[in-house]
Amino acid sequence: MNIIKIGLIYLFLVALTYFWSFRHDPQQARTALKTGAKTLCSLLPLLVAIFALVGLFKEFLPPKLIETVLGEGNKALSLLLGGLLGAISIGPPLASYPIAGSLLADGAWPPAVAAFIMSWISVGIITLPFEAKIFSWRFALIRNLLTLIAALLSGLLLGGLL
Amino acid sequence: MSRINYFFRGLLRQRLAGIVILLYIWAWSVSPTKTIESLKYGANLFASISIIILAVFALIGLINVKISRELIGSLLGQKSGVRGLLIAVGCGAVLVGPSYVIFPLLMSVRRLGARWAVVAIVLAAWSLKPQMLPIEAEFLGFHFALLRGALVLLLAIPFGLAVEWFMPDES
Repeated sequence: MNIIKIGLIYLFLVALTYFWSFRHDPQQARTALKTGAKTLCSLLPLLVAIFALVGLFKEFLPPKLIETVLGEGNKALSLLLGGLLGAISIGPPLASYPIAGSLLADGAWPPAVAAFIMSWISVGIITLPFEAKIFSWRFALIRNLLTLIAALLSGLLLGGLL
Repeated sequence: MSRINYFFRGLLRQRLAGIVILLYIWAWSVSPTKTIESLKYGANLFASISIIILAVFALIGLINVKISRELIGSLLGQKSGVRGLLIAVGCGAVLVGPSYVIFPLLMSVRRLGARWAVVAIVLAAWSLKPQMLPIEAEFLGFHFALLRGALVLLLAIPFGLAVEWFMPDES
């Protein structure tokens, strides 16, 4: 199935839910629509940047390099690098999928890509000061360190299960 | 607090866009043809995924109004055993929002008496991102997305307990 078909099916299902929601509580449905639109608009510049970045990856990053750095050659290093790259990167999870997809297509080792995604989504080096401010440094450091370890572990498990 | 939130929001967004623009300037100096190809490739990819993105954000809006943060707060605020931990997994999995909303929310739950494990479990399960599943499946395959989700849910409780174990005793 191609992506546009999947998108249309998904859109149809969401539209149905909205239809039901509008009949049920129009005020709430309108708020929902507004919230969604606002979130999307606030993320749009970032999304444009991400897809521009994926384009650059495709043209300028030689697959050979990715295979060397994240490939099967040195598994331990690939896994660790995948996890660390994910940890330092910025952007919402949505941004990590196309990047991870292009890494995978260029010959990266699947567990390393899985670790990359896992740590992108849940480890936040950039937001660490913010997390510490809210929860305390101790919690923020422990949580991020353990999450990175969990990301590497799940990367291995995921790679083994695929 | 709100000033910190705005700062991080701005930082997250502008930094990446700035880096990408700099990279493009560099790319143009190396090879203008390849740079145009990059832009075209990115634009095509973006266009093909745009319908799903539209649907996902419409869904995010719905989840935002249907599942109130107060409800989640009240479920986790009480002192609860294994049941509380399981509820934490469920709440984390359906919680939608960026970290600058979720972190303060969880801290308020913690102040209401939730364990550290609950906070850590919600944050772990929060990386499930079920609303993004179609996009994840598109780029990485359906099996990948499904297995990753299963692992997130399975590891959340042991992870949360491990984080709590490292936190100072509360009595």
